[in-house]
Amino acid sequence: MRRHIPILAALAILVLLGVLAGCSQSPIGLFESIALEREIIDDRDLDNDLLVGAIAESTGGYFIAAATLWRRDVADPDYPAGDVAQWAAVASPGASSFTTSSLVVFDGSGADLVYAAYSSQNGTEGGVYTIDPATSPAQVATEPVFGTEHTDVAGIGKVFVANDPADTYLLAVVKKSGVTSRYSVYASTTGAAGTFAEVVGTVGNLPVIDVAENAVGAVAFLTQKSILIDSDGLNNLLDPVDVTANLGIVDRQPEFGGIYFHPATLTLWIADNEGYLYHSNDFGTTWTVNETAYPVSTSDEDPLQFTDMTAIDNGGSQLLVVGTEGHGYRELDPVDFSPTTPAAEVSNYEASKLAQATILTFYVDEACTVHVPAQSGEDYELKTGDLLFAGTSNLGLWKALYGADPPQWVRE
Amino acid sequence: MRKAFLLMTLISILLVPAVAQDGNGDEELFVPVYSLGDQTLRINLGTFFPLFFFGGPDGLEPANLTLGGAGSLVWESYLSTNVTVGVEVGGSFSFTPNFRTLFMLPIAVRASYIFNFYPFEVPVTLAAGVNFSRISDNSKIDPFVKAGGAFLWDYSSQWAFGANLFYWFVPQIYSATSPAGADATRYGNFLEFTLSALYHF
Repeated sequence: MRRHIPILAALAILVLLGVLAGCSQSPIGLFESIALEREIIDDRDLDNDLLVGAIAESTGGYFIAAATLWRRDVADPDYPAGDVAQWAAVASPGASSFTTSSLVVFDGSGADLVYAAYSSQNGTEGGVYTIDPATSPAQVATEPVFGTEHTDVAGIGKVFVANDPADTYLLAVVKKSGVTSRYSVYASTTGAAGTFAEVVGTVGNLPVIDVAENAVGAVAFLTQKSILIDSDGLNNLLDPVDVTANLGIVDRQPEFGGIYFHPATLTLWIADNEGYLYHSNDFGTTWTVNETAYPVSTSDEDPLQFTDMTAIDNGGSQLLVVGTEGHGYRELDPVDFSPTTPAAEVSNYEASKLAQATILTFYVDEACTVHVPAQSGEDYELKTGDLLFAGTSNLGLWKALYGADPPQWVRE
Repeated sequence: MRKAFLLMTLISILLVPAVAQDGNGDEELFVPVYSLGDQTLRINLGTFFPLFFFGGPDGLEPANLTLGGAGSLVWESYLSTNVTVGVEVGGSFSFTPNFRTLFMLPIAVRASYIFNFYPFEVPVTLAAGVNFSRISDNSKIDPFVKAGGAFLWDYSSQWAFGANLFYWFVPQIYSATSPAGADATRYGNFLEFTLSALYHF
């Protein structure tokens, strides 16, 4: 019997280890994630290797800028039993070699128009072209409303929409002509040809990559290295001020990925490519930042490279979703800044290629009622919630409905 | 020709034990008896059947995993003719609907009571220990309990062959203060059916 005492001791130690290990700090319920996982559905004909740079909705149609501009109907009454609405390519303007990765919906003249920024392969030609989603949703206007025909413009970047106390603006980021590596922002209140004018104080060495505004019309411009805030709106008494130093960055030289103003908490957020998120409750004067970089995972300590971000209503609670380079997206509680229980990780997200994607853009279609893969079985069920679209750098377009159930990602 | 040769070789191998036993037909039947100090090594390989989870808000849930594979190495030592204790190191794999692979690697101590019906023996076993689970980039260590039995044929005093049927119970418990939260707790239930080769020494 004495020789078996070590075995019995080993038994006791193993059982004790098991009990202790039951309390280990895994960020996700493994069995829970398996039980809730649903097969990923690729429900439409959109290429799965597309770069999707922008998504918008207008007049019953979704539009995406994915080199070519694509459109499909929002309404999908027969789905999933009948013919699903498929994506249709919209022919590019110009010499057909123009591509687009940025578009917005803007109402400057009493009706929504889609404005897409097109550029030639070498970037020396381009312009902002319109699509009328009501009358000609499959046709781009032959002439741009603004572009490289302007004497001071050598190239067209992204387009945005911003409001200030006076008006709503269509913004176009441009590469300036006559100088090397100088960029600025042009604005128009109508979106009509001949109405674009340079926004004072936006000329810089890097192009603006994202724009945010607060409820009283202060506008923030983000480049990869700086943040400019125009506190009284565009082209008014005060010019944009560079508030990058207010972020308190020491011994690091990050590149910023996205800026977002969260209207529910009146908080301005910025993400960088070194695993840091910054938030400000006074629109840029003072900032709070995480003390250590957010890592890829508990087993990969490389910092997350954050990109675009947005907020979504997850069945009554707000979530901030932040895209990353190569690691999908993360969810954060926009109030207390700490990572929340990641609802996406108890769905099919972990199993999807989206979890390894570089996310370029998000789009939220609020209060949608759509068919989603059912939690039980392989059927579909009609659910209402916020439909989150994620456009990736080379893995196409994805969507998931955020609501009472964990979101199940579907590939377009 | 090659197939015929392989077939004849296989039949020859299968007949070896029968010939060996019949050749000593005049001798008294030898029934091996093991006692304190005798030891065994066993290798098991076979199929893994994920059954169900419970403990979540929806009650009993299908395991949502495909049929998989399981295997283990077992060392046991006899306390008496019918009782052994030992240690086992195992492993299993199975796939989610999107082909993520769930790996589970249990390490357990085990105790068995052996019913002898020479030339067969039926050990009934209870094992307990820890289980290392891993899927995607996430892993967790949980308690582990396994119960079941085997049906073994004593080919010789040293070798025995047979099959095992074991029930795995893996309580994956999360506390309320853990990042995953208490509602992530699930109790995993699995079945293992493996073929076994056992060596006495």
